[in-house]
Amino acid sequence: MSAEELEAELRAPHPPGVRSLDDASLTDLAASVRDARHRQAAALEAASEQALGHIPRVLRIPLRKALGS
Amino acid sequence: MNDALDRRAEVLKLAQLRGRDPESLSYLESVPATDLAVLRERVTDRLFDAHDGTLKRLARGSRVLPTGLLATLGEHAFGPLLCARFAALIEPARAVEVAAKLPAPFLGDVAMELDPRRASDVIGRMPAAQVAGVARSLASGRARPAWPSSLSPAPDRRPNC
Repeated sequence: MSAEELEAELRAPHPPGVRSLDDASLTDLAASVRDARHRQAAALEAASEQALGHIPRVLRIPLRKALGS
Repeated sequence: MNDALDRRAEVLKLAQLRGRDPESLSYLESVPATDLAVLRERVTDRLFDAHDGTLKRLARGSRVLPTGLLATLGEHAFGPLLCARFAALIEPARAVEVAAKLPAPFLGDVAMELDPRRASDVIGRMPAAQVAGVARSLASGRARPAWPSSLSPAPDRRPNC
């Protein structure tokens, strides 16, 4: 189950040598990928909010158009 | 001996990629280095693809912003990890222009997060003096143990430093 959990998290098969790991290690690997993704999502959201404060008003309309919003 | 060192290097890179203490991934040292390298590439792909839509949209939006402002946003809002993601999505010449306005220590942090497979054009276009400056910055007191794969010599080009 843990090997499948890791593959589901990676969305790709993992190399054969990784299959030799025990379930606890495979679960830990899957969790670490998931955590890294979540941290990245949180960083992206926070950064986007913060970035708005640095953008001059005169550029915000063309920026919104370029963003497609 | 070399294989043990290669494995250790891969574990360090994987730990950095996942924001983990390398010792917490010591169980990976039983896996062949070549398999660890493949695993690292697959984790990298997953993380790079994870927010692809949002990142591409932001990269598109960045085209209307001056490079000086992009550098400011990169350093003060997005940080090294997200800058490394963007570097792979914006036009290489523009990425190099933005990089020229960033301090070497920050670029060193970005280098640690870059996937050289996706940013080879950007890395290859960077002036050798700037690459050398980033390498010196990394060597002069960085806490991170992993060597950034992005600072391996670019294809057909080695900086004189």
